[in-house]
Amino acid sequence: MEIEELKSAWAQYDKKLTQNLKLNEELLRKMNLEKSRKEMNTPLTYEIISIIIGVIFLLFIGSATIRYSNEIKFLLPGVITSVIVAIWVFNSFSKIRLLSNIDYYYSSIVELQKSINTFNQKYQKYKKFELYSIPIFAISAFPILGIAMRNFDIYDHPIRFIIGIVISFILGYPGTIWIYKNLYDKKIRNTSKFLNDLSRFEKEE
Amino acid sequence: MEKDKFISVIKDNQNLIYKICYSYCSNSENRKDLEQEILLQLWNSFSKFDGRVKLSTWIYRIALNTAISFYRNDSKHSDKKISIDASIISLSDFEYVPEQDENIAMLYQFIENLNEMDKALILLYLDDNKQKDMAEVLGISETNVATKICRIKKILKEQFSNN
Repeated sequence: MEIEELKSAWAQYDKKLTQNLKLNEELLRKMNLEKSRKEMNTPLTYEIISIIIGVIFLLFIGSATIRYSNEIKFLLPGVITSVIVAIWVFNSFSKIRLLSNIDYYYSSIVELQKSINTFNQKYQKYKKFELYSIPIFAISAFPILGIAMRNFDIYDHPIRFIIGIVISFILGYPGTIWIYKNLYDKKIRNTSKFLNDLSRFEKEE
Repeated sequence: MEKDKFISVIKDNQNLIYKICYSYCSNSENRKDLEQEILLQLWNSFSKFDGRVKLSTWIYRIALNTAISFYRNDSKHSDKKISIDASIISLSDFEYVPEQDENIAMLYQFIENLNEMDKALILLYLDDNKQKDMAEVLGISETNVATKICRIKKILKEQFSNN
């Protein structure tokens, strides 16, 4: 069969669809269209909330670290906690920047798929940092939060602190590594592969 | 008012949406979800349409982009927005069944085996779009479109002569 014949069969098929397809207007109206427009900015809202909470936390930890800066046992955890939270906040800013660069309405397919998949790739890498930094965050935040919020010095209770460290490392790391491997690793590989396919599709002439 | 206008646009372009859903989802349950996702995305961007491009180009872009993202998404059924368990665009009761049309069934089978970008390309080609429009929707050069079409036509010809 020649290509032109196939195209003409497709055109005939299109005509038959025109005669036989029906649009269920009632169902379309029922789709809660107004609500869906509001839901569009959910990832953006999530990142904005994360930044606000992160900045408030950073200010609190920062001021506590300065307050106890003469004691290295509080200064060091305070600095580590602040750095981790600052990186989380920075990542949220980067995600917002990437999200706002995506033009859903007027981008071509290659352009939009590239933007979406670049965002996904970065998102998954940020997630890796977030997951891997949780146990260190827990260990470093404990002394500085304890002293700043309840005037509780964890170093006076070394057994509790050691148990906390052990739990964070022994349970925290295998847990986060497992979560990352199972939830994100495969996604990163797929996203990278698709980005390569898109580049090839764009260049092939 | 805006909703009425939207419904009328969808009515005029339901063939296009139906064919895209059929090409990207062989499973009827997924197809219903994709159809609703495309309609939602079209509705979400409807107020942004300013006539800079042809209406059909705009619909192709959004529908194909949604289909590609949907096709690539692992959690197809987890979208909370999708709530209606029925097709919005469907064939009437005294039905024409595309599967009974041998050439169309074979074409769909051919399309099913293509990757997501080539699927978009062949659909645009079969719907008789100009190379310039195809290049605009896809975001590649016209020369690139021509080369790809030539390659796909060759495979298509081989496959149809084998059957």
